[in-house]
Amino acid sequence: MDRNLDIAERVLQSATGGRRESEVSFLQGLLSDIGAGASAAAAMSPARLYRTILGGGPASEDMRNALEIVARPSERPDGALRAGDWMLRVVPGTGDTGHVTVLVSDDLQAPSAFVADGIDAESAQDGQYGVVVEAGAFPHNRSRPFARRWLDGRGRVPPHSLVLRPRRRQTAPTLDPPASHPHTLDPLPLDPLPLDPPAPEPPDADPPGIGLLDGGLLDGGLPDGGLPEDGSLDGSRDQDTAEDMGTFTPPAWLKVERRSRRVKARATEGEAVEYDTGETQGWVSDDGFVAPPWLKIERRSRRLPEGTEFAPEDEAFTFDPTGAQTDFGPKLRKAWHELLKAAFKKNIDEATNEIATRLRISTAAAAKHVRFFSPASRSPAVMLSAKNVPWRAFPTSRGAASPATYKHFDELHADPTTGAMLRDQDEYCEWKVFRDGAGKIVRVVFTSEPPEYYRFLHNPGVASLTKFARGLLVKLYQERCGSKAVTLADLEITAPSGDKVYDPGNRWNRDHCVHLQQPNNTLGAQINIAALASIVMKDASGALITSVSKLIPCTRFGEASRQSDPFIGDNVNKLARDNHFVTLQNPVGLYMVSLDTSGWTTPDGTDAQKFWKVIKGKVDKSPGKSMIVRAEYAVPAGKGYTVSDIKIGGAPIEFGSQIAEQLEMRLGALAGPKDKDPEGRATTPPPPAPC
Amino acid sequence: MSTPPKDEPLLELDEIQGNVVPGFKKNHQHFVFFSISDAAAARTCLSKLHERLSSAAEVFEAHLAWKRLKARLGRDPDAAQFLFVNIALSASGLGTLIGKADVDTFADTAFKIGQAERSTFIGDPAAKTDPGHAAGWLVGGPKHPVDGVLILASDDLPWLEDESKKLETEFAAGGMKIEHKDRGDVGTAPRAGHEHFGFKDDISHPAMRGRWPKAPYDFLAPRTLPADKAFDPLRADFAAPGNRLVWPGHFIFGYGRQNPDDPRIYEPANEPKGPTWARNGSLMVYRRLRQHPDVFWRFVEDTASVLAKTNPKSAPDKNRLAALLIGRWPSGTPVARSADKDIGITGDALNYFSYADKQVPPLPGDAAPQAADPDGLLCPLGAHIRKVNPRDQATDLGISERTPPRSILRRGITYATREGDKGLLFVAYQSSITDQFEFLMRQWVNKPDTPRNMAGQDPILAQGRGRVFHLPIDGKMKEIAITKTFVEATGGEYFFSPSIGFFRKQLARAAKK
Repeated sequence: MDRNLDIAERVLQSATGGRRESEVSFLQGLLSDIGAGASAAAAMSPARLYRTILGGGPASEDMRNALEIVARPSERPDGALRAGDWMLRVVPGTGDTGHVTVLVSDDLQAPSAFVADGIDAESAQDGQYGVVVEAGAFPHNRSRPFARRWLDGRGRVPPHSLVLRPRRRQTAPTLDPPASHPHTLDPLPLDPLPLDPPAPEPPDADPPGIGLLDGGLLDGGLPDGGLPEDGSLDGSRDQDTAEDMGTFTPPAWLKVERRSRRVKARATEGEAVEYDTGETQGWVSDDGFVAPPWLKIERRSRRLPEGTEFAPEDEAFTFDPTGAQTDFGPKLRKAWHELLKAAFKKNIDEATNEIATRLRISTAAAAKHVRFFSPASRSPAVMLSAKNVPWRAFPTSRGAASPATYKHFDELHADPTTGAMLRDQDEYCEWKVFRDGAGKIVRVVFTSEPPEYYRFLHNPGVASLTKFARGLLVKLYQERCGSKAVTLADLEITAPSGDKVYDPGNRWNRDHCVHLQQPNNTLGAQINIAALASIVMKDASGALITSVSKLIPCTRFGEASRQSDPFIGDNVNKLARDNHFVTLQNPVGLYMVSLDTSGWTTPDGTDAQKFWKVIKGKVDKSPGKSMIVRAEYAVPAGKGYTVSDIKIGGAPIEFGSQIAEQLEMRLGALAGPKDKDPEGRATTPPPPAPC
Repeated sequence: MSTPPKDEPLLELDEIQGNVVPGFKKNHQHFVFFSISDAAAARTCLSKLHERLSSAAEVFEAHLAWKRLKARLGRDPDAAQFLFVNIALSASGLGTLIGKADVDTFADTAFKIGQAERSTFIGDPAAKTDPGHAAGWLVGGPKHPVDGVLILASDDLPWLEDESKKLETEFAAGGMKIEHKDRGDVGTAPRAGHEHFGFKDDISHPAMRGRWPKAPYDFLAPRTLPADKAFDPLRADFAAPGNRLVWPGHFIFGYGRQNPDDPRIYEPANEPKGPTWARNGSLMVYRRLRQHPDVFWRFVEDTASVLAKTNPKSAPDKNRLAALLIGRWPSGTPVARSADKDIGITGDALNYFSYADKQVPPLPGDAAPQAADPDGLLCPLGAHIRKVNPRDQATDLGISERTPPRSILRRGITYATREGDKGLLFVAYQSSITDQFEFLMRQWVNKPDTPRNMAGQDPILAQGRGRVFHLPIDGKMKEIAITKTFVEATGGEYFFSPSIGFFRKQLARAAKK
């Protein structure tokens, strides 16, 4: 494959001209090399090739004879990408602006891995990156390495991108690109295309290669709803479409209505369509839909940028199950989404009402003070930047760590309200210590699964799902507890109404740490803190409150004695003060990130990290993105020693608390751009509300 | 108007050793490390030394006398010389002299285990062959265990050396063996008062609360905020501009500490836990830190030249980049107050800044800019001084009111040997090494996402490859990889600096037994 790359680099050397011309010249050199039809190749630009291949027709067939489609936009490739694969990118709404790049190596990696090697990556977004050969304003090759994002965090090709594989290898020993790739294209607009930044930017930067947000694409767009009341994107095209409609199968997101002799097309809820001025014919959507000639498509709202939680592929936004778990089928997932959607609404409403009452203003006016939003009700049309809030799992609510506090948090304590014996671990992470007959620790199980997850399974809110969900509830308990003895009745308690309800304090949870049990460790608390902390406040003297210790008693969120609540509140309120809108990362959760075992020693020298086992949740190469909800620290039986024989900084592990002290947690927040609301409209900071 | 609490505890300054508070602050400071070969003889020898140990009161009065003389002369006095002596003992030394059972009553795990065994926990390399591993230490560690350290300080080097020889002779005759000597000298750095990378050091310290029954000060830490009413909101929390008040129990045994969530609330019963004889004592960290100025400046120059290509309009030059890594310019001027150039701030203004909010009110005569910098656009979140002291910002610990208990009393001094080895003899006092020095190292210095997310590791103190620094440039953060180690330990141990009464009573009593 190196040979192919040699050729690509030689093609690159001969690709001359400005950014645009060199892109075209480079592509034509590559096409010529693989034997694509000379006449077709001579007319190709990256954007045209993209549309040609996805658009069908004879030209597409020609190209597909030479190029295999590895993955369409937002598709997962069936196999691994290979060195020599091409990626085409287009920027919708910009006419013929596109880019072609050739993969140098098939070992795709996270951007941080490249940065560690001193290689710039085009962004720090989650995903799989590979070094490329490419033209453009800043050409790259193996001696000037640069990594581009080939797959997103879910292993899919990014939107507006297409991965192709030459069907036959480049074998031409020599190339003469200047002669064989005449510049016969129509004059092309030379709009700047931020495909290639000179250096990697932090995650909150606009991702290169997208460039959708610049230039006021939303200007003149629709008000709040994004679509006109009748949902039409274009109701004015006056032509007979009967014949066309006879063979036209619209994609799922496009609703086509016949009204007299007019055709109305409208996007389904949550969808938006962009137009390509002057190039209605051949317009190709992300999923490969090619607009028929009779269909005029106009953009009425901005397509979402790549890299947010709510990228185009997620436009029908759903709250995913905490920890990106796969326990649920589609129906339960939908029901879970409704649960979270309601929780967001409830907490936003509460925050709004709090302000309305305090300021004696209408709820509509009060809503402007709440800078927390639900992506389920306000589909964001802006780039959202991730903000992690870290803390440690070991609580600080009982003062500094000591053998006494270690012991306290390892044990159950009577709940002051109910008298039930519960864990008192109040940093959104709980653990259970398992000891052998000699009192030595053999295993410590950690959970950050919210009680809502299990309560939901007991009552998913959809009668037809209840039986199935309860079966799943028992199954999950049996798995967590390693016992088939768990029954539904064990997990229930009789409410004063006489109904059977889910009991988070059930003995199986108590004994096996199935999920969070401490009364304040809930997803609801997390959402509540974020909603209330998003209100900017002022003190009696009129001064802006910036200290979270003053904010907590004022807005009444969370517990000041915790590490997590104040730090979450501090970060959210800071963003609100800076006039950002804030929401929570999807899937919403409070996650374990990593266990720091540096300075730990084991009796046989085994790396202490090997005994940390993630049981449930997502582990990311970049720990700050991990979403771990269940894990355990245990020494395999054959080792001949126990967890108690391991030392942390020379001190033997006597309590699970000592491990919790080294366990990092995180909450992921998302912030919109400064001075913009989620819909992308300019917004001014609300006046601080009096405390 | 907020007023400082009047019930600050009375400090027994005649009992506290003087390097704990107010600190020796002399041009020469020698650390003579010893082991105990004959416990009975050592008890007798050390117990007799109580009269030669410099108390906090003595050192404090000496400093006042020196200041008065300087004020009268208008220059540093030539003849006003002092020689101070302190002794600290490691857990092994105390165990030998007093008994392990007593030592075990200290709550502090780190002190009882010792620095060498904790070394990888606080970020020293795990591989024995790597520089900085305890196996290669010159003092402390498996090859050079020590039971105690004799500290001598003076501006008069010959006097210091003469006294050191006498004491070493007495120690040798008293059942102790001299294992190692480190010679601190402020003159070895590029400029006095600066460390070897070239930056002014020793600027920001906590102000220990507590009263002293002698004139001229009611409070041990004089309250010197301007009298203007505009400064009233600061008086309850600061002794001087930027000089945060911290309760004595965070440094000295036998006194209370703050309420965990409110630094203004004194909890007298919340004393550090240890044996009864620990009263007026303090735990001392000693780290022999070798600095590599050549490696540091080469990294800075190389990085600056790369940035000049990637960000030609806004790349910092090498001096500015170095200042951003430290958080201060060579003069000590905080980059939070002057991000673009070294404007040579002096006096109280050097320490008068905060991060979450703009520091107000302005100090009289202080024209340097003040601005809030919560996101680290002026002073990077990862700058050394910001990593170890996030000031008014909330942290991964929660509210910012939880930060003062992590403070330490730094008493370090630069050193250089004829062989080219140079660095800092780092000394810090506190009442819990685990919760203070080690917390700072493990939780803030060595982690990339604390005390604020996306901070990166401490570019100066963290070691090894794979570190990152987030440089504010063009309004964004640029991640810079740091693969070289600039500072590494070549020795160290944890000690307890007992009260003078410990030598006079406990040790004398033990010697009689």
